[in-house]
Amino acid sequence: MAKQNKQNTETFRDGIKSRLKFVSILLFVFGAALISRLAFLQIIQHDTLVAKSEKQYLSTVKTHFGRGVIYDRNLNELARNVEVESVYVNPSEVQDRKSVARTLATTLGLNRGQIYKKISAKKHFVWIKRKCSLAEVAKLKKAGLAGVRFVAEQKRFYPKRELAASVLGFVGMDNQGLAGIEHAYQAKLKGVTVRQVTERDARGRSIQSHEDLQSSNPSGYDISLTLDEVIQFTTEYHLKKQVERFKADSGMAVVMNPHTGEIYAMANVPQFNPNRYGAFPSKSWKNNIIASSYEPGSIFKPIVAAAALDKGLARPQDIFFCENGMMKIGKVNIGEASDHKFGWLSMRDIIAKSSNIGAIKIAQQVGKNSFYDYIRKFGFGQKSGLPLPGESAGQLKSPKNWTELSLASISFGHEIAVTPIQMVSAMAAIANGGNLMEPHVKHALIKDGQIVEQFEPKKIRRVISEKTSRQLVEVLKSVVKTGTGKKAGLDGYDVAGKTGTAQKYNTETRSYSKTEFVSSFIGFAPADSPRLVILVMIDNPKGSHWGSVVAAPVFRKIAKKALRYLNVPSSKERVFILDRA
Amino acid sequence: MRRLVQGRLHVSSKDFGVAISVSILFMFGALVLIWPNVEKIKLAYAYQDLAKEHKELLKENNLLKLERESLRSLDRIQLLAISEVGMEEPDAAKLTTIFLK
Repeated sequence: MAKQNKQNTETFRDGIKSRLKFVSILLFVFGAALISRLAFLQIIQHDTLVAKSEKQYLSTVKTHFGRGVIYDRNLNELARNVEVESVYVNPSEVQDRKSVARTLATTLGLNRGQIYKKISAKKHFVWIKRKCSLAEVAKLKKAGLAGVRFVAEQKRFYPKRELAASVLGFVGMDNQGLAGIEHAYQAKLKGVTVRQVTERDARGRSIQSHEDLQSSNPSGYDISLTLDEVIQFTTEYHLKKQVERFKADSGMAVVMNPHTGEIYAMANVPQFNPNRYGAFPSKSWKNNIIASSYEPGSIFKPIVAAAALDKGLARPQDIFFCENGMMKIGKVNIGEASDHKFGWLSMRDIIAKSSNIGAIKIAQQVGKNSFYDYIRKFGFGQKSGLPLPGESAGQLKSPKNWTELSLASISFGHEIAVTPIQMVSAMAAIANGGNLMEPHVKHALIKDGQIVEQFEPKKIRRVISEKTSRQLVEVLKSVVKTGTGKKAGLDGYDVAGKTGTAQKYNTETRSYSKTEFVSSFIGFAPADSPRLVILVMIDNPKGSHWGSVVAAPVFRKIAKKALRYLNVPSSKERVFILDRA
Repeated sequence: MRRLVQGRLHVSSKDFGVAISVSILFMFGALVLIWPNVEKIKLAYAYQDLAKEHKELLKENNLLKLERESLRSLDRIQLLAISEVGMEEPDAAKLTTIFLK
């Protein structure tokens, strides 16, 4: 019995052993298969699977910090961004195309047929309308159309509308600068796009905390311009009124600080609204102050006088015979404006009465090479250095190419084309004691509210001596006191300046028009310690064409308000000085 | 209990106590490991909600700033000053300049 029991136990143990062996083998095989599979997944397919899983739980969030803000010199906003939404459609998700097309067309004001065509395309993405208004987006979201999606975008907005539009320029649909400051400083203003990777849960909600974007300092640059909103507005307002009054083709005005070259105002009329620049003719987008050149006419005469005075060839009181109103050079007879018949005139009177023949006589004393050198030294025939797109260098022929008539013509502002910015820079040099300053519109670069780069005045060169400058200021004061520029006079301030009335050159007939003129006035105030140089040019005014009648009053109005604004008191008003203590 | 453990599981009560302690310790460890993650996810959800609200507020703030700048445009102010308030330009005799030293 005991033996049988022992035998049974041994048989049971053998059975257990064989079963254990079998199970062990099975486990071993299973383990080996598992290890192989794990090795395959973890080692061989590691990269592929990691990428797949990351795609499932990671998402990239693109945050675009839109274009930088453009400010005036006092940090008033001239251009900023607004977040809007654009509408796109995934055609494969659209079920009722006709109905969707109808709703989209009605809400967004688009053509139904074109939308239907778009949403019937075999694509996964079609734009319907970029940068929609808030009301349009709200309506569409309420409609809840399948396949219609929204994406946030930045839209450039110019809150002051037409103000300084030709200087600011505008941006395209993808926020790329297309004109003006927007184009010139595209690299600085374009903004920054930050990509951030976040973890998502099964419902697609982000579960990993974002890094604080603002503290990580990703923003781009803002720009502060030298323009002053108040002076810019005043300049545009009075220029526009005068252009309308005289039914002129266009008008330009520049206001500059003669000591630093800072441009306080740059106005072009007709204006345009950069928020919807497409609705305006492309001609109005142009900044004629830098991009167009004109024959300046008599406002160029101070340059001849400056050359003669600086070379010591003439003094303000020296007299010249003005040929009683008619002078023949070669085969051409040159007369005076309004058929004046001047006899002997001092240099002061030549400028004050704007004698063409007097200017020729002064230029003849200077000589063509010296005269040309001075013209170049004043910055004509070359770009001013203002970093705005499309600047013209004007037209100035080399003396080698001058004809017998050239010296005479150039002396009273013909046969030469200058840009308004060149002209105002040259007059600033006369006003500030003889230094040609580089005109500039960029005041400072700002990042996160802090100025990171400030622009200092840049002297290009000394053009005339201080003595010449003082003499010329006295001569130009006489233009306003007793000469052609009386209408530019300001009560309580000394004003120096020069009127100009240039006949327009007709390129088709190759002759000067007898009906079309550019009327201008350039001057500065207060004459002895100038704070502002102002140029006003009005193209093709009707009714009257004289610079003294058309442009000088605009100068007076702008100067009056701008000086008041800059706290430069007139001698007619009461001034108190209060001690804070 | 002791008999049950000894009878069914063929282990001493000491071993059983050790096993229970190890299990509790393991569960506690797992809880310690998981709890911060659960809290982290909860905070992340809260953060996302706040971030969304912040974004909305920033957008509204931006729109208000834009409106303020539009309302501050000088042509509008001049028009209101002249036509609605009846203001006019002062002449030199009416002006007094005060400089503070």
